[in-house]
Amino acid sequence: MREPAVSVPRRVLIANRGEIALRITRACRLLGLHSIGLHSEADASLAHLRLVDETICIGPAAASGSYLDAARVLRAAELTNADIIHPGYGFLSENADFAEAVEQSGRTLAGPTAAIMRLMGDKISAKQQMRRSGVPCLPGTEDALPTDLSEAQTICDAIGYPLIVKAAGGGGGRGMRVVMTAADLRDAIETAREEAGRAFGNPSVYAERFLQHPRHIEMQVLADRQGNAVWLGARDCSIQRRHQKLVEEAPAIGIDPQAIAELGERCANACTLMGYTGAGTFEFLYEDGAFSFIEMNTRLQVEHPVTEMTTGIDIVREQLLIAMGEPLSFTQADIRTQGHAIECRINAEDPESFRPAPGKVQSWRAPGGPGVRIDTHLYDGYVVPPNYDSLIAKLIVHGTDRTDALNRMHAALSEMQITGIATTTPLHLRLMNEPGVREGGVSVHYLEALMRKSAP
Amino acid sequence: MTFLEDLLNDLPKLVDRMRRHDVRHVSLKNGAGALALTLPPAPTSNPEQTPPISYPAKAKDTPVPSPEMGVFRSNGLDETHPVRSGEIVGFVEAGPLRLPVTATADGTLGPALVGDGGVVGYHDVLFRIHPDG
Repeated sequence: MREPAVSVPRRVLIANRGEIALRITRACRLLGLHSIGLHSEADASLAHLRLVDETICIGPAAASGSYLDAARVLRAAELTNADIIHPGYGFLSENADFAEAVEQSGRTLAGPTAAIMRLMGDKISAKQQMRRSGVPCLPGTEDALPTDLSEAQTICDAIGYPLIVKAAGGGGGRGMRVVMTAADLRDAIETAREEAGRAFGNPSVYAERFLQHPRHIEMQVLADRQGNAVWLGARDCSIQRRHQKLVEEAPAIGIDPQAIAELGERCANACTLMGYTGAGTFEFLYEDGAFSFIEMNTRLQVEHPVTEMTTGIDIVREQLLIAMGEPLSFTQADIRTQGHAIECRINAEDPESFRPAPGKVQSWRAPGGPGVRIDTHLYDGYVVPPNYDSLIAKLIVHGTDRTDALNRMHAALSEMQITGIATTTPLHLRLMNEPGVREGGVSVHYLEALMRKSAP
Repeated sequence: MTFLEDLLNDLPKLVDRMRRHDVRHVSLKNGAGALALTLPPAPTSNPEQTPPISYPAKAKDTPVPSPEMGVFRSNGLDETHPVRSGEIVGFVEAGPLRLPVTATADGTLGPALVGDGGVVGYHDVLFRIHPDG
């Protein structure tokens, strides 16, 4: 007897914009999937919309009425009969309510379930889950700090100073206060609570030991619906400004590969234990030879290409295959990392003040050559709108080792031409020659200290 | 089908009949359902007496955008239909809502650029209006 025909999901709604929408479009085309590009009224000329099979304008330029409007994105999915929604990064990609609505509509989100997003979205429950899974965490509170400030003081005194008060529902530096001494604690808790309530609708805060000069190290994972999970190596994303990454690289140098492998195993096991599906990233602070979990990003990361370049694995393709119900086509033993990869985020920003610099790109000349990859939606005459994130391109290089990669990045940055708008390219060119960057292993405070030092 | 659903499906016909009998406002009630409809002023000339208009160029045409992302429902208007600004020329179903598509200028309405039942995006152009004269 013939098996009943099973319909395989093949229509993918790309619920994002810019370079990542183009990246997802390419993966859809590679897999022969029907791609649907949604866009705001300001984004009708985005590069990926010329490559997708269908387009639909979902709302006005403001992200709140388009890319962030879950009801509109879902209506677009209904109208275009999409089976899978790929949220990319940012916008609705970590919105558990949206993920739940997608599930209820009978569609598949290219990512974990809403329940997992909620578990990892709340920093307190995420840390509890990590502790249960054997993933290392900083000493700190098990639960939210009590509202009684005297009780909170007792708990924090036991953790020791300096410590950091963080929003349970937050990220990106908001609802976060560093407390150097016990005397500063009460003010810090009150202001962090107020800020967290305003920014995330959840005033809960927790406290943990504050590391003074940590590196930002993160672990890429992939997990399928059959319970298989693998880790793809660590990235170092320590070059940041105001908690926004600017340069990322893989692998993380100066850390014992065995320690990375042990951490990777723990992360993959954590995925299996919680039933995680899709691509994800465990973020850690690394100081004095110890990793401490910060949070898990339950989505694709901006910096995923450096892992793709060192492992040869197309992470976005794998995300789509997982969403289609396919098991991972490789095991941990098949994964090898080779050489060194670096990514520079090219933002439409003033390279000194970091003020956004939207406007018309007069001309765009991409760099090339061996080991050079550019992920961008730029073209001559493209107008960078003022409504969204300022990321306009990701320049990625792959070299035989870190020095080779740094040299290739410098050459590629020198070759790249973007005229008409200000970009962060001059800063990246400078960074590639900075002694701290050449040596490697800088802390998350490196860039801001460098900028302060060179300020007039 | 409820009273309101029936009525909404027949809305194009109702608007047509109101125009023919020079009725600008109507209120209907049936049980829990009620509908109040107010039309903009009617065109001054009789559509049937309007001579066919040739289009010399499209440069000055005024686009008629979709009010929302949704499904277009035609009013059955042909391309020589004269319209006045604000006149309902079709509908867009956006979830539970049935939103009117209104003429954005006085002139001659071109053919619908989307078929009845077609999916339309937010502010997609559904018609073009050619200025008279």
